[in-house]
Amino acid sequence: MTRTAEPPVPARTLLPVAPPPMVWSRLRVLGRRHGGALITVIGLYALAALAALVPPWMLGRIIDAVRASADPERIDLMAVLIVGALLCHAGLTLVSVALSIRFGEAILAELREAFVRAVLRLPLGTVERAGSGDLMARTGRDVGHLSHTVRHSIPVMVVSGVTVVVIFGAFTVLHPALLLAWLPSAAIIWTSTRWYARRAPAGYLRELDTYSELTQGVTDTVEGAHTLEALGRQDRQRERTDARVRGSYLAERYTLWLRTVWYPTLEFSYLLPTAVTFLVAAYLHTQGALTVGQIATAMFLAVQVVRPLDLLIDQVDSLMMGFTSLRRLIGVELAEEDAGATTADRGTPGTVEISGVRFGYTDTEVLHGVELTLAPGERLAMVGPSGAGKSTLGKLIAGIHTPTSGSVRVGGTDLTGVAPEIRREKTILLSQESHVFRGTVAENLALALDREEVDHDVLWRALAAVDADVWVRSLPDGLDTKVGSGELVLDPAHVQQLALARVVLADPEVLVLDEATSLMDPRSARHLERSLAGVLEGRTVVAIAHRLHTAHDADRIAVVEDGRITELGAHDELLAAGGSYAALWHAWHGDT
Amino acid sequence: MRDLPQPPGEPDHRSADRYLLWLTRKEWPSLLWAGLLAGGYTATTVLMSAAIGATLDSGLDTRSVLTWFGVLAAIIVIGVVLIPPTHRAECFNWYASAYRTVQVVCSRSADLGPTLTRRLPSGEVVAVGTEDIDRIGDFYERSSMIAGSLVSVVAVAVLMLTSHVVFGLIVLVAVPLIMLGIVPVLRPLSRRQEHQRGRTAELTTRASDLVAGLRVLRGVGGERTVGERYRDESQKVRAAGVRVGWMDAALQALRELYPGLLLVGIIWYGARLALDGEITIGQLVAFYGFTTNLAMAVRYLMHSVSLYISARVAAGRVVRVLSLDHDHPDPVDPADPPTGPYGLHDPISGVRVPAGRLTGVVCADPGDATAISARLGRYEEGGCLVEEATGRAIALAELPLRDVRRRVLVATNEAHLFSGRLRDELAPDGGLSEERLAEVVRVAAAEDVIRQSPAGWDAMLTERAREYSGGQQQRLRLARALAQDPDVLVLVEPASAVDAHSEAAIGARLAAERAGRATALITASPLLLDRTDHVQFVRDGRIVAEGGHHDLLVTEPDYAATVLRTTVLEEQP
Repeated sequence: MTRTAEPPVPARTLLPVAPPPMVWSRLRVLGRRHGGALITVIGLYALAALAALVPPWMLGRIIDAVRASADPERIDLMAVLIVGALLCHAGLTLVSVALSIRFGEAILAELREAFVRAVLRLPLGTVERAGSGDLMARTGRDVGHLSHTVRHSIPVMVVSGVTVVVIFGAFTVLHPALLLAWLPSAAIIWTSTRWYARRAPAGYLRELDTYSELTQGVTDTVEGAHTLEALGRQDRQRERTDARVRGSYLAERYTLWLRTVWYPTLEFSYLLPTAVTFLVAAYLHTQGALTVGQIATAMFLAVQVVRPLDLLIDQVDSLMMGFTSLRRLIGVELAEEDAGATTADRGTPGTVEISGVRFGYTDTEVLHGVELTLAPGERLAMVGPSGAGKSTLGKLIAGIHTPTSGSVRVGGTDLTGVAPEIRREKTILLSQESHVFRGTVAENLALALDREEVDHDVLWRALAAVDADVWVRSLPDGLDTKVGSGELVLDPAHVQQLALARVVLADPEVLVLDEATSLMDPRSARHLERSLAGVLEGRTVVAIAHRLHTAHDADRIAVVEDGRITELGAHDELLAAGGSYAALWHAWHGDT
Repeated sequence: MRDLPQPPGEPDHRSADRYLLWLTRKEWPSLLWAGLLAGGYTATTVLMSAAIGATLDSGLDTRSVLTWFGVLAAIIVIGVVLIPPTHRAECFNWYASAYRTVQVVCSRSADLGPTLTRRLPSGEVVAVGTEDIDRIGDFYERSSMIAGSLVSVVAVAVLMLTSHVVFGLIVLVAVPLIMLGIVPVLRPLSRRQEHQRGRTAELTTRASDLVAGLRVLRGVGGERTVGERYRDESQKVRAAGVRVGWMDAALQALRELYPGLLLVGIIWYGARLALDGEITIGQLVAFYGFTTNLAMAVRYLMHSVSLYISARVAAGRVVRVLSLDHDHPDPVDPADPPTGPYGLHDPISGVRVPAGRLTGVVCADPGDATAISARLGRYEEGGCLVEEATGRAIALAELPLRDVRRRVLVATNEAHLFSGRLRDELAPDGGLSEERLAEVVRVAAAEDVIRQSPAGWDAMLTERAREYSGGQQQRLRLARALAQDPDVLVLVEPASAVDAHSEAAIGARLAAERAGRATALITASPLLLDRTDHVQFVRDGRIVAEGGHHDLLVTEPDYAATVLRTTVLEEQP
């Protein structure tokens, strides 16, 4: 076997991974909370392990009884004792395993729920950069690893650890010199496990990353199946899957190599003591310190300790996997948004003041000094070529990004570091792409109010405001129709209407609509915008749209070109001025 | 060790068991190899018991102690030498079976196309590719234990039969009895596990839904409600896990109890015989050792059974994806493909897309546009190809679907953009020259999208190309469709999210790009329609007027109302 080269780390920007101390402190908290249950489980297991020692112990006694040609009834009695011990062992095993699983399930549920809570506090920008594959892998695979560790490894560690301790105690009782047989093994186990434990975590971390990539590939394939088939790219996708599988395989090969070195040294350390115990016990026998029956007991104890010892050390792997997964799960909390201030500065609601704003996602600046002031209730349309920075400016107004320099104040408040609940009262951005959650139409809408139970009349009014009441009424169960993945699939225009209805329910002071009606047909879109305008009377609206109806109907129009506002004014003024907007307006009508 | 991944082959998806059987057939040499190695290893443990017995009968003088120490050490060394290849073979079996399953699930998903997400929630399919593969892999990894345990049982039976017939017979009767004694627990365990798997899958689906909608949640709100719903579901998974736990615990207890009882029987009977001098102390000790070997073998067998049950549940879910039939199966007896230039016809609406022309299709009701494009692309039945020279109509349903997809591309705004290199995303199979790529990007007015990243053509798209705006994504989709260069291209509102300058540019460049091929533009954009050769106007599902764009503007007030961007809002009926 040649050592496999370490596979390259995937290029994607992944979510952060928690440093080990953070995980330890979390575990301490869990330990404090669930300590009582854990101690009960350990106590029960210890009793079970003691009961399991009765058969080899009795074997020695029986052998000596046979050699002494004892009364057969004594042997019968010993057999009955063993049966009793077995029944105790089985009963204790039943209760302790069941309790440890209950304990594990509780911890698991707690950890995964904490993870989801953290996910729900991720800033938007972070989610978009990491892609959902990484998050999915964490919710699926890492929670799975963790559940294996908690449900399997921890009980095994407890029972094996207790058993090993009890068996070594038994050796000491038989004759302390028997423990000498284990000295060389202890040294080998210590050295090789340290060697392994130093290299393995990095290997497993990389392995999990490649599985994130694989999950991303599966997600892409499943969600894009329609497109793959339409473009006839099935074969290409198969090749991509294969490439991702290969990445995982290479990462696995590395850790497998580590285990190939580690395992045989371990096995040697477990098994050698059986032979050495024989040597020591036979010597002690010649010195008259042990009977033949006790030699047999000692040797079977040496055999019997192998399995728990093996299981115990085997969990090092699983524990490291679990630990790595935990680092990835808790790591999400590092990317969490701060709780933020829960009080906002006082100012006139509905105003937007942007001054000297510069911004870039990377080193390249996208906005080069933007000045803009909106009065409460004003409706502004932003137009201009793609990539000019309209959406970016929209995101700055909505507080999703913070300007590199300059300031954005909404209702007199700088939104940097403000709690999302407060930010949403001030401003919400609605983009072209939305999502329908699994659940009923009513549940989808009620999200905006963040309440489970919402008066249906309120929902119907919001739907009417976005012209969606008619088709929702025509659904099989109206508001209670189940929609989303695997249920009724809504067409994109309807999805946009639901998204708009959510915003109507949320009712922020300033609303940024970024191509929010672009997937609807133009006539319906315009009708919707008009009825929406009625509902949003008094709210400040910034609409980014390429359909110039929106611009025509707005109070003012801002033309954004190359990261600057180049024209600002009402429709008629700009048309009369004969600048970019006028040119755009004519082009849009097909006037040449 | 072979290299992975291997070509997956055609899976047998008639049932979960058949799928597992298929995997077994595919991997039999490596499974057999792992089984042989594991068998060899367990044989050394049985030998160890025999040797321990023999040591006690050896008289325990210095010479025999050293000799037997040598024998024990030799057996141990053989066992240790077998460990690395056994572990490697077992791990390989995990990789091989899990990876093969991912491959077939992804492969089938790609083939199923729109059928997949219509039939199964996407989260559930993703869970198959991420979680169920673990269960299947675990079973195959540990399947070597079955061989190992059987070797152990047979070796013990033979050794005991040869030294004392009654003991041998006890073993042969007791092992199957012990296995049977476990059966009553297995059924409820399997049922509860299935329930737990279902719950876990639901939880994964919920989590994936939550992740997919995270932008909405963070933007508009609803974190609390969604978080609470997740917690409820998570608590249900916990409850299901606890229920499985009791069965698991019962199984473990029985796994200890039954072999233990066998052990007592052997010791008791052996001790009585030893008292009578019928067997030696060494034999009694060896029998004890053999019985512990048996207990281990039985435990492994039972563990294999529970792994098999989990794998079977997982395989059932794999099979559910694999056995989905495509909504549009290939014809048994395909028609002759068209020769020479051909166009497309939808008899239900009357829409025709002739070869060599740029045809505009305007629908007064957007629902009609969806229905017509679905029929033209055989997402619904009804459309047909028309040979230009002969006028022969060939129903799309009479051609293999892959052939239809190769000839006709319906490009909608729902098309998915994949993560990966931009260049690969745009180019069809076989790649495309840089000049040609630049050309389709120019036609789609998407030059700014390419310029946005310093890496240019080698820029990496994230999932769904989310770093690009809606308009940029739309133009990437258009460029990709043009690069595909199909004989018939149906574009559904290809410029609905771009600014007017780009929209006009796309209209102006499209005709030259598609010269000689059939192209339909299903749109209400006057800028695009202005550049078409011919326009068909559909109302109530049928063509009601056709002609040039400018003529229709004059003759059909309804048409004008649909496409003209008047600023006076017309009253809705």
